Amino acid sequence: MFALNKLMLECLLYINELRSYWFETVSSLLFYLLLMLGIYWMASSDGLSNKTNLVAHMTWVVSAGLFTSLVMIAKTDVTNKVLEVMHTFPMSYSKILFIKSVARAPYDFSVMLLTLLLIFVAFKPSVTFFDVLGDVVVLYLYVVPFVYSFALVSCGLIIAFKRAEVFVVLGNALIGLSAYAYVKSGSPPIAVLLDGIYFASALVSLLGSYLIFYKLRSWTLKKGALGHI
Amino acid sequence: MICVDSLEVSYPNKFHLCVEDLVFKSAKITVVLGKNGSGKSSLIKGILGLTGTERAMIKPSFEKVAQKESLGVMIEGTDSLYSRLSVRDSSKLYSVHRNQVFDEKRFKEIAENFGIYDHRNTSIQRLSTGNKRKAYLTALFCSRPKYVFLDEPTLGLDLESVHKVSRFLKEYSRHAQSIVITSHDSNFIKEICDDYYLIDNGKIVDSDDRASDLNKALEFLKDVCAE
Repeated sequence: MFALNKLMLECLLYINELRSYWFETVSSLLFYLLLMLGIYWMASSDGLSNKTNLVAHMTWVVSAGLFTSLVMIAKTDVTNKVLEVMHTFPMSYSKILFIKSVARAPYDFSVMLLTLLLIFVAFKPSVTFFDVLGDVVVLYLYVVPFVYSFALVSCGLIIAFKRAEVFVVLGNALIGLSAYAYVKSGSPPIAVLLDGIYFASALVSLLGSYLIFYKLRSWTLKKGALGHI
Repeated sequence: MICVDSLEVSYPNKFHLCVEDLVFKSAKITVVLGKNGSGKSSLIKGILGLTGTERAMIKPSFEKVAQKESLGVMIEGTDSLYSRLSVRDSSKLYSVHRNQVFDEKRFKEIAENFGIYDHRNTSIQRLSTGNKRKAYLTALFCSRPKYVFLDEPTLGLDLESVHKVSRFLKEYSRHAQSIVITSHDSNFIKEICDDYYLIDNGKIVDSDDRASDLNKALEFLKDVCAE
């Protein structure tokens, strides 16, 4: 009940944020859409197959959204000086981060859908819209444990060192490179990739990143620097 | 009641806090006095587990979920609210984070008491420093905390607002487990103080529950700060 309430309030907080930063929201969205269209155009003229290129591109868009959301949540909590008070709440900060990232997921998916729609309007690829969308959702579910792990470690580093910008740029670039490495490797179907090794590595990645996050948070707490900005 | 049997906090800058046998009584307001850097905030952070401790024997432990649900915390006079949320939504979010049901009637009562109800739909970023402080205090007390820690709660408040806060705290303390406050505002301290601890260089140098001794402690503090 409280978790649902928290989720709803976090959604409300995010909508308020987008609304009050409406100019930044609209201008950055336009810039982002143009950038993604440009990158897609460059990649498609590189001779990559239409569908795999599109799927990887869209997975990058939505994964980068999740990564950026988490990193920006940690940054906002540091700059608003709410971290110390949050650590006195009954729910752990890592769970609060999870709820906040879920609250922001619809926006990330909307951006991806908008980008995909624009690509279909501008480039008229020879595949169907829903065919691509289905593959993007499957590939996203496949990569989400790794993207989340990577973002969690970045959040820990932000809490410890209070710097976010460098993580946003590096993280997005790394996710993009991974997506294109997947395409270049011949983009094996997800069903082939879903084996014991995948599940084990996803679990190790999540547990490992939580451990690093926990250690970084504890180190900051020990120094009494949680509330520093 | 909060019992701090022993607490030791050390920072890399060589500051060392070491206190023993502190009692923050039920239904009382205990003020921690001291000059800047004497260890007041570190004492509160140490009790709440917000900083590394070398030794901590505290009852109840604020690491437990049940105690965290009944906490109300203000650190270093900061209004720890999201600038984009309204006063009302901030209170709601704070209550939900404490696993408490948000009570609209109670919100109205407290917000009116602090004189912030007219700004209930205003986002935090549009409020003045004093009003942000009032918004945070409203959010904090909406969640019905039993244990209250207020570190410099009157920073940025005008005289009338300080008086409103002290009147509210006096009334609230009758039902609370413990209220611990740090402040430099001597008039505010005189209005609310039941017990006090005087801290200097990480150690308790004086404590009592008599008003006459509080005046002496405040004089002492004035002299120390003047030096």
